[in-house]
Amino acid sequence: MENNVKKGTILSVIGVILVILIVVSVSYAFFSYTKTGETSNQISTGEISFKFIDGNEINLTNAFPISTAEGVALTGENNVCTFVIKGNIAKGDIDYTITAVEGDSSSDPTKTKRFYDEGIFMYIESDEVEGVSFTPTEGYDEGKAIGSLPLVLGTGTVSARTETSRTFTVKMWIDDSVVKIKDREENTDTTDSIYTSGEYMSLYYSIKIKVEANA
Amino acid sequence: MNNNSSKQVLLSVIGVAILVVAVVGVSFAFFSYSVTGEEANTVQTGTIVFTGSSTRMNVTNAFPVAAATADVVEDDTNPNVGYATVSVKGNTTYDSGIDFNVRATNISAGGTYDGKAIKPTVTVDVSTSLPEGVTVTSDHTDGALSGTAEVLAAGKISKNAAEMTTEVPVLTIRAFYDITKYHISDTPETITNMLPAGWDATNGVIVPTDTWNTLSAYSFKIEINAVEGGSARLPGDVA
Repeated sequence: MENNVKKGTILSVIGVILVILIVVSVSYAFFSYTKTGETSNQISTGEISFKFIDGNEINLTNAFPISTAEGVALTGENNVCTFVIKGNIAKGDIDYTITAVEGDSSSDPTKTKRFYDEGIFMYIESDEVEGVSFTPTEGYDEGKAIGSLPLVLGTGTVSARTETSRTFTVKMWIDDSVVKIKDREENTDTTDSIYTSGEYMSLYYSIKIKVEANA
Repeated sequence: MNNNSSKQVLLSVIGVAILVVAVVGVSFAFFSYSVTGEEANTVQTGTIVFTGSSTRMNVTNAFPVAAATADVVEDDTNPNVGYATVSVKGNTTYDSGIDFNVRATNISAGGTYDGKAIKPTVTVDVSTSLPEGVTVTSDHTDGALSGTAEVLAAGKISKNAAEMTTEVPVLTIRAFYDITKYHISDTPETITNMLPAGWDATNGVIVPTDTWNTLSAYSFKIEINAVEGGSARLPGDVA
């Protein structure tokens, strides 16, 4: 009887030890190996920048209908809007969009009525720059009615790897192909005449340039 | 065993989480930019205000008179001289000012007698007291109106013209039958190039004859046009 008890006790202790060893052995390999590679594996962010720099704005007062050719040829302070897009990206492209959006109401208290979208023409131009492409919306590189706002004037891509600028010029005018003054001698309202002299006075039209980009 | 199961569950959860993040990450650009310029680009129209009007002459049974007699007529009460004035009012913010003209339109052909046209003499006098900034000139030569329409005068209201709160007279138009052409004879003689108005030999008085009345039917309208920018026209009042 005593021998059996001893055997039982010993077996129990061995069993416990074995359990401990098993549990502990889960955490440790009986053989271990460690070596650190000589070459680093790395990941880092690349450089990306994009800016829209506002320049001169259009401020036409006492505007009178002019031809599309005259509108496209407008130059000088207050007659044209200029701005710059500047950017670069280490890899891939930045896609951007230039949009004309409705501007503020006139600060002149006598100018309370907004002019017709259909009577205002817009034009956009920009010299070629490597690394910053631009495609104007069809027609707006020749002068075309706004129609409605917001108006996408064009889209482009910045693929330059170092910071590169591209300058844009926008022009806006009342086009005489759409806005006609009633002819006194004919004394008729043509179907495409959208106003009479009384409605033409003291009107304003305002837009702002909005640039959006994504990469 | 339990630990392995726990680790497996933990690793599975982490793996699923990474997968979700990876899938969601595909839907968004890592860079976006949106700016609207601060300055507005504006186009504004100016102001043009212009009105014009004329009085109306209406003379019936007119007899020929001398030019000197007609020249001093200052109102429409003379029985033999038609008298009308043209007035305008305007102001503009445009540098080009307002160009306007005064035209006689719908000019009737008038009558003829013995092959000769019967037409009144029309004179046009520019006002001597035009407001500052208003200029008017007339190239009409005293005599009959020509064609079916004729420009009687042209004018301009400059951007800086004195403010006009009411229409101001700019032209005086007179019409009369010139006695050197249409002579009232005191005898029923036929004089070369002259037409007798009518002679009542019995009573010794001058009376309008039916023929004279018919022949002297003559009319025209006065039209005022404002021309802005050279080619455009604004409605003007018509007498």
